[in-house]
Amino acid sequence: MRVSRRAVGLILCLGLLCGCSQQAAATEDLIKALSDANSVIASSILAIELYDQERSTRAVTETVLGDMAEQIVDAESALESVKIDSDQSQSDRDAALTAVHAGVTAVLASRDELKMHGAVQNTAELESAARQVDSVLTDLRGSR
Amino acid sequence: MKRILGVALGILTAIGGFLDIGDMVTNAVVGSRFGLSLAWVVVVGVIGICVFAQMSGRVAAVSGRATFELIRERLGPRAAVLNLGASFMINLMTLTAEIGGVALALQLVSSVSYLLWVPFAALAVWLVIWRVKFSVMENVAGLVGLCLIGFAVALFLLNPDWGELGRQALPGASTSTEKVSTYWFYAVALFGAAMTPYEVFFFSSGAVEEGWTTKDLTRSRANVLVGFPLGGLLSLAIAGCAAVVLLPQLISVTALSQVMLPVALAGGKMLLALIILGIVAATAGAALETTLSAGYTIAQFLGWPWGKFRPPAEAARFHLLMIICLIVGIGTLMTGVDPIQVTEISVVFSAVALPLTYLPILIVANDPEYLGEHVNGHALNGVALIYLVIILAAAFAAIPLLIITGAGQ
Repeated sequence: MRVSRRAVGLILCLGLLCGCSQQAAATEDLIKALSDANSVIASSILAIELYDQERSTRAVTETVLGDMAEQIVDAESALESVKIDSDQSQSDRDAALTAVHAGVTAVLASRDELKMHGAVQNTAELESAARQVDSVLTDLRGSR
Repeated sequence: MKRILGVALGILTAIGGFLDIGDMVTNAVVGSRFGLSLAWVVVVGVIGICVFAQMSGRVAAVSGRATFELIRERLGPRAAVLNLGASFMINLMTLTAEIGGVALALQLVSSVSYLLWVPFAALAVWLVIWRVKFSVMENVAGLVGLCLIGFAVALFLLNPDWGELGRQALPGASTSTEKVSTYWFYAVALFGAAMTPYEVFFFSSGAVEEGWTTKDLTRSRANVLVGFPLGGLLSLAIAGCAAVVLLPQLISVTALSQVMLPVALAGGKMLLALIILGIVAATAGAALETTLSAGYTIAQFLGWPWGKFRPPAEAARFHLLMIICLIVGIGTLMTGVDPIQVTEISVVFSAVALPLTYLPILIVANDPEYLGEHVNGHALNGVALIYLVIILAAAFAAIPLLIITGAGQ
């Protein structure tokens, strides 16, 4: 009787530990994807500013924005594949997805605008996306 | 006067030829994520490559024979085949990364996708190997590669807080939020980037190509002991630029194009053009060296006629092998694999394979049958043994760190 109680206790403890570590791993995955998105958006803003100031060439700026577009799309895909095991994880992932999606839209729009018109009018959309990503990132880091 | 000019040319070529895509990418990634807290690894790596290249250059100059010929003879074919297999595979991976590097640099000039440049880059490498004299090829790539001094200029123009940069470089001063395992993964990667085995195959085989004798030992020492450390300073300048501009903005380098941002900020379009020219030359030079090294290793091991000093018809298998390696490199890149990831993996595996190339050279450099009075002295052997321990530690740690950190993610 005692042995079976201990076994049940042990299984419950292991289950709890596994659940906690899974949730922690999910949070880490979300933070990683958001950090990548943050880096991509900051690179894009810097590249556009340097081009506006005529310190960089169109080819370099187009290459930076092309590379960054691929990477932020990868970051969004990584978010979509994060395993969800609780309501909290679900809400964290939804917030992260919304923020990163704003980043994807802004980076792709800037890339296309530069290709079509040879200039990017402003970086407001990118800056707004950066603020969203940063806000979700700060919340997630706080909840660690 | 002619001799002094020859030594100066050799040193300049060594500085310009020191950096390749592995050094550039790894230093920029590390600078953007850890600041200068891994600068000590560059110092350790540069001293290591000086010891390694100095020994292999002396072996080639005194014996008149190249690395793999001697390894097979001294260690026997069974031990040497393991060495050959590992060295060849790392070399092939590095060759792929370098061709990808040339293509990425050409994309920065043209904004045409690097995938379209890959076949042209490989074709250009083959044409140069086929038609251009060894000394011309080596000196032009090295001298144009000197444009990478632009990274040092950029760092000065950024006018950083030198005291803060110095503090970052002090051991244990890292303020990065990265995990300890990631820090050590990049330490191994930087070490592997500084001590890539192909540099030594090329250096020793090049000594045979150029017919070095014991009279050239001073020139060889000057090239290595002055040229490589100055090349190492350029590595630190790349990390410094990333640490000053990208780290404060939380930008992690994941693409070669991001390495251009601090340069543009510091020096505008002129400096940018200079650096891109330098990157094309450095990666093209390294692609030539790795392609030749692929031919050298196999041909020397199997006893085939090798070398650019022979007409291609007299070294047909050597040339055919290089063409096959270039085709494999093109094929790998055309699958869409990220050249930067290939570079990052290749520098880590360079560290894994390093003991297999370093130990045989150390053994031959101590063998009076081959080197007579030019064997290693006590002081050099002391340093070389310390490096053997460091190289073994890096080799054993590399793969576990690669797995634990998910390749530094």
